[in-house]
Amino acid sequence: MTFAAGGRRDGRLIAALALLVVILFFVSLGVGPVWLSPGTVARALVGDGGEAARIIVIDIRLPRALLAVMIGGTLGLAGAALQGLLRNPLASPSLFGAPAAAAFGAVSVISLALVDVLSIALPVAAIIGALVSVGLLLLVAGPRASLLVLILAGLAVSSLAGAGTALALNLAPNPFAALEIAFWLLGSLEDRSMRHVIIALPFMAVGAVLLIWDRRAFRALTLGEEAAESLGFDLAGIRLRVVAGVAAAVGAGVAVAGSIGFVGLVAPHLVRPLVGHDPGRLMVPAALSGAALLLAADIAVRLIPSASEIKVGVLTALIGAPFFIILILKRRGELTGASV
Amino acid sequence: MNAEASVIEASGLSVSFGGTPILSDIAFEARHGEFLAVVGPNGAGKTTLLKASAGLLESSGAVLLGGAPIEGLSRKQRAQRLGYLPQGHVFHWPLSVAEVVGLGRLPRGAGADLSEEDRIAVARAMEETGVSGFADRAVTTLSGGERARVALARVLATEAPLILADEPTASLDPRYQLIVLDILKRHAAKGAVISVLHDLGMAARYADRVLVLDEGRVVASGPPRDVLSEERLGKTFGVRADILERNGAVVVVPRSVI
Repeated sequence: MTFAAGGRRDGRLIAALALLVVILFFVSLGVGPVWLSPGTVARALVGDGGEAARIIVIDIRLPRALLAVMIGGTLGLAGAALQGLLRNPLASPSLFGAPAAAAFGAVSVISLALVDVLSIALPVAAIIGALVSVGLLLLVAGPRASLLVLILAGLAVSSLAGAGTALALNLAPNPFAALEIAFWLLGSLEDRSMRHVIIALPFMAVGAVLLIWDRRAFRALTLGEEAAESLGFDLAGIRLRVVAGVAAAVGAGVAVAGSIGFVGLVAPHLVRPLVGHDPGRLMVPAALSGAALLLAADIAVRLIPSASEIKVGVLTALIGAPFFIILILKRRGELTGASV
Repeated sequence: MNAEASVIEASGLSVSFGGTPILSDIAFEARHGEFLAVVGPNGAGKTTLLKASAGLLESSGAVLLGGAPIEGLSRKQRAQRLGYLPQGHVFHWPLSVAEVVGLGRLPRGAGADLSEEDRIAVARAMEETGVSGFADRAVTTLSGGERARVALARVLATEAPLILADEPTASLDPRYQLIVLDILKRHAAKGAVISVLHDLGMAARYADRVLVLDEGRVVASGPPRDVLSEERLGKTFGVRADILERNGAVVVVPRSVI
């Protein structure tokens, strides 16, 4: 009989993923219209080297790479937590309309000209939007909702948020503002500053703590809600923390980078077999996998030859949606079965 | 713990959903060493009774666990004192058998890594239920009988004195029904077991006392030979039954619908 030697094996996995993130992080600092060698990047980071290299690395590419790590990491956590809570590998923030609702929250305050795009009010509005959507979804779906009900409710929430955003675009004060909103919605890490990092960081930190808090409960939930409760877990509290954590993570991400979908769905999947499908041990690897994915996607958009840079949100959707279709195909039996 | 000690005692236990009473003024007790069977027709409130006893539902009345009011115990303390085995033996993720049984150690503070004490408890629970032979297999690949025993092993690993089991033999073939009830009977000798059972024959064979529920009320309670009478089965279940004595035990065989 062997027990999963969880700690040690996970330690190696986490170290390997962390190394991958660090490598991609440095690649991200070196790649772009001006290619910089690792040596140049390292010198620029410590304040040495030429003025131009310093500006490119520290002012232009560092915020972008940091945001990719933060947003990818929290999206990975949000996906893993939602999948753990709902005991379903198809659960993800974007399927449940959270980014759409966060975008609606942010767009409303922008189009109402209440704030400029670098205000702290933007993430707050986005988080409120995400909070309302995830809360509404769990409320509509109820505690024992089938996946089908959740997805349908998510579709309704997404549509409603999309309609709201369309209305905001429709009523935009001038075509230029409308275009700006439309581009921002596509999701991008281009031209971000440390100010964006600082705005998002506190919300993401709180969100990450909330999401990772209940990892032991996610393991217990493999037995179902009642058994998990009988093992001493407070399900109402867990639901609340996951909803708040997803909202904070997604809301803050959307506020600084627009809508970046599917990372929350894909990231946990890539590492789940490596932790023996244990939803508790999945959390940290899922965060690192999300960070690596978004860094890689953000590097890829700079390498793909095109007239104007492809937005990273467009790329993650282009890759994520087919991935989602493959997942559906794999679980088709379950989805059409009576248990759904 | 002495043989007379009450492991769980409930009085005036009532539950209602949206104004509709599901359980009314229930009183029962399981003493150390006892196997208590809860029987009753579909919709009598048996599952609700178990959940309310486990503190999983909002209820009025008193439930004492080892003499202590349940509402005064933390979630963790409750989880250390009672193990709850829900209906259906559902596993949502393809964890290994050993990992699922290890989940029973969560109330004892175990994380993904088990302590030596946890490992011993898990190994013992797997041995008792005969699942050690496939400890590394994913639970989602197991047969119904194997799943039932893994679910039971998970509850045993908790080392809680009281086990509340909701139809642990549902959808099992006769051999596995006997295996599961034997395991529960052995546990009862060391603590107490309350089990919802549909099979009156099994209830008569295994239970020290039987609690008959009908429309949310206890209509009879006592040793099987006193409670499972022809008259009682007719009134509560609407069946005619042959009640036989064989080797000193009561045998209940439902015969026809009234």
